[in-house]
Amino acid sequence: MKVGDISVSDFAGLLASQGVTIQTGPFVFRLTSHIPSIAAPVWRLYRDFPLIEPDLVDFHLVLRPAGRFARFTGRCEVVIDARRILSVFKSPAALPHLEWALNWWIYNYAHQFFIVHAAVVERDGKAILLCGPPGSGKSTLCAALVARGWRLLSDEVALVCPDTLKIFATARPISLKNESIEVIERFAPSAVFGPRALETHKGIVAHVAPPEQSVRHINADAHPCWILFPSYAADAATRLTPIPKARAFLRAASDAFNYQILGAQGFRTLAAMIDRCSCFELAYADLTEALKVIEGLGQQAHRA
Amino acid sequence: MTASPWPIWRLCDAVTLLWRSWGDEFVVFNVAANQTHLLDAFSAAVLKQVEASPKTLGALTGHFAAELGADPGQVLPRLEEAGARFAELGLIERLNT
Repeated sequence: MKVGDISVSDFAGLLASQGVTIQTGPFVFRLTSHIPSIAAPVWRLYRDFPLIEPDLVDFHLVLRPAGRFARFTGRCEVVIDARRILSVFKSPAALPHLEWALNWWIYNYAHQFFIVHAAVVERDGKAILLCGPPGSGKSTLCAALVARGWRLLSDEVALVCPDTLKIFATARPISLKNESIEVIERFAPSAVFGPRALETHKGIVAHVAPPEQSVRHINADAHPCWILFPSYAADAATRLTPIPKARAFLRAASDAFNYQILGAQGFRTLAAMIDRCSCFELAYADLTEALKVIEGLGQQAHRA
Repeated sequence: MTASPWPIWRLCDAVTLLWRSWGDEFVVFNVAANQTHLLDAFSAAVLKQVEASPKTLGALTGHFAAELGADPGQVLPRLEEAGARFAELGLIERLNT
């Protein structure tokens, strides 16, 4: 059964009582929410994901009002596994904080994977990793590529199996911030958006629902083929510049969440990824031009 | 027995290195310290010599002078510079004999 197979009101009822258990690729989480306003957006953004029996879950998140005066302050909190408060926020920011909590768990516990801070999309089994710090434009490019038919694996983390280099997908909603929200609304008018959270520590945040086919094919093969380091600047000319692989290695290592934790295994995994990838910097301002360059890479590989 | 005028270079205790190269650039991972370093071809060749077995600076100078077809007097400062960096990074120690 999928989330979308039950009504929004039933979903809201479950959220507020026993919770819902959702599978996103390799992870299963249970979500309970005592913030009624979050039910409809979560239902809309996760409608294609499997809703499963709550036998085995990796972790349990609870969204709830924070403190005795929450009715007056509007403060809420997200709690993981009934013991740790991850963040405190005003209720309109609940959805971003839910997504950040899901990311937090992956960064801290999913060490069966080599985890790179990167958006990942795939076509014909070949994946592009868009690496870089917040603000580099990776989520914007990711959303645009997904709108062009690339399969979404993640807008936030590349989960690489150290043994096979297969990249596992979570296909969760794409998080857009500030100006990139309108950019994608114009670029992909049919994209399904969640509500805008206006006052977060990252500015305005809105999420784009993953396409149904990305969720349906969540376990399809994807192996790293290209590593791009995008950098958005308002006046940049679109330019794709090859990076020597050893330099790309160091940059990707610094973008990895658990390179240090995995030690030698992290080194070997990243080295094997770099062996098979072409690595580039991508400077861009114009989204359409940037996509043309990226899709050109895919077409060259297809011909080769 | 006369002491050698050259110090002996050897890997620090417990240092194990993993290597990967692309073109003329090398990445080396020091397993014990969990640290990664980017090396050029010359520095990598020096470290690999020391990794293979401890060497005197004199032996290294002779080896690389022959390898590069260069004057030992030109090679020695490059080796000393590389050695100082490796020592600073905790990769090698330079022992006076």
